[in-house]
Amino acid sequence: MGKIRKTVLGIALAVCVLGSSVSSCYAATSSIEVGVTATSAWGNFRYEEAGHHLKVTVYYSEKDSQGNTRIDEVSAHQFGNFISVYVSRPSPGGWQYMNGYARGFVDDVLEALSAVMHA
Amino acid sequence: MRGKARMRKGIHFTGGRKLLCVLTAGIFLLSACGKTEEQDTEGTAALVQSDKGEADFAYPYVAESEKGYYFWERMNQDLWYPRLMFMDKESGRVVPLCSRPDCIHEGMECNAYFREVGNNGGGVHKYYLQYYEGNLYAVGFSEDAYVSLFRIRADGSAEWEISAKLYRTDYAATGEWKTPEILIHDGYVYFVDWYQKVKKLERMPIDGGTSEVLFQGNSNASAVDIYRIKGNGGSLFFQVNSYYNDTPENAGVAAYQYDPADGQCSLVMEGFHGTFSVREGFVYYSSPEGLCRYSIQDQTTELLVEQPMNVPTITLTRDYIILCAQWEDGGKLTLYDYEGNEIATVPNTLRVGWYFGGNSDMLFGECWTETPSLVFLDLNRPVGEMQWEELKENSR
Repeated sequence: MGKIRKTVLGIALAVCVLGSSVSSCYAATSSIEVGVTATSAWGNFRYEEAGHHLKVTVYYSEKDSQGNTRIDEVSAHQFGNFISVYVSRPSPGGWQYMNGYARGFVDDVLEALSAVMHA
Repeated sequence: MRGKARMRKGIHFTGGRKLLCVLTAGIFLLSACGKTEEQDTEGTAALVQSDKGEADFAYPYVAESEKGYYFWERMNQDLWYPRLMFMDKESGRVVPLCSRPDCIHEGMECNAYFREVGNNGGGVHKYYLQYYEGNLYAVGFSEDAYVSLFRIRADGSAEWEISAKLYRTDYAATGEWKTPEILIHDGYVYFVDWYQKVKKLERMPIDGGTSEVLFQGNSNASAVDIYRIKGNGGSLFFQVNSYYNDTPENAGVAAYQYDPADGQCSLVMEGFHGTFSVREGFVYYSSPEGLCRYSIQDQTTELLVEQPMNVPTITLTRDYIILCAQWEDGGKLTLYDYEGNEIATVPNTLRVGWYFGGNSDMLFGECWTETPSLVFLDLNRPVGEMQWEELKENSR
């Protein structure tokens, strides 16, 4: 009898732990994209749960006609399921985008990171 | 902005073996930082990067002290919280700059993690870094919307504060971050605001105050860029690219010298193509004819290497003139002696895309492969054995 009671308690405990673990592990799916050409760079971030503050940041490297290189970034943020950001050229100094990658944030916490894309 | 920002994501605990390794690294770092601090209070480690003419960084993304090098890690899929790292010159060991004995050096709780630039709050931009009089200096964004210079204690305590507010931006509204060109030299921070189209060189006391304009680009130009602020022989040198009629083909490239003693900027030379570097009274630059050396005193030019060059970055070390083109052949180095004889080429085995420069012992760069990473090259190796190596925790 004692054994059965222990088993039931064990199962109940397992269900409880499993249940709480399932809820705490639950995460909305997200996706992030980045695109880079010589004259533009963009990033899209999607998060499949409503009611969050989303931010997407594109980090890009660029090169001028004299071989100088820089890294800068552009970001956008809003409440919703989707956020995108876009920057474009030309510039007088002949600056061209070389490559870039994007980060997606949900409520200021990093959620997604893209691979590096080349122009 | 004293103290560390605490954010939501927690620390991820790993296996005991890794923990042991990390603790060992922490103990090592504690001793290394102690020595660095001791060195600093003697005032001997202060001006290595800018004043002694030893280091020649085209991009000041690695800070050098007498004991080692400091740098920001690069974020990748395996590293979401890049840290401030220290590489010991003597042992070559690389560890996070964290002196917390119980820290596993992961996540935002580690002292080596610093909040990044974000348009909803202050933080640092994890590229520029300079060591000066015992502290590290980074550039970032303050909560009251200024591009600022941040002072970070180099002892792994994570203490940081705003050293100087350089200029105000609308970054918080636009989300567009442009890193300033910047150099600390002899108690001042010299900087260029890259939000401006026709740029100017300014300076401000390192502890803040009023800025003064030292050089202003030609207002008739459609754009003026100012780069490569370098300290050498007590003076500052910088490169000015002026663009007319909105086309890069109509660019005028010139090198200027600022003498802090008399407060004057003077034209050193103009009409070259690409980049330049200065050492012991000579300007080295590339031209359609090849690699040239210009004597500032005699105002004469000699052609050192007769071979057309594709705007390479030039690093001048004790033994070598080092050329490296960014991106196209990035990472493939060609070493010459000061007579113009080619000594060696170092292949780009790690796909280095962005070359920073370095000093007589070490060069640095960055790979933008699928995951960005930092690399270094040990110039003290025999010429035939030099190679790029990945710069990461305990990489040697």
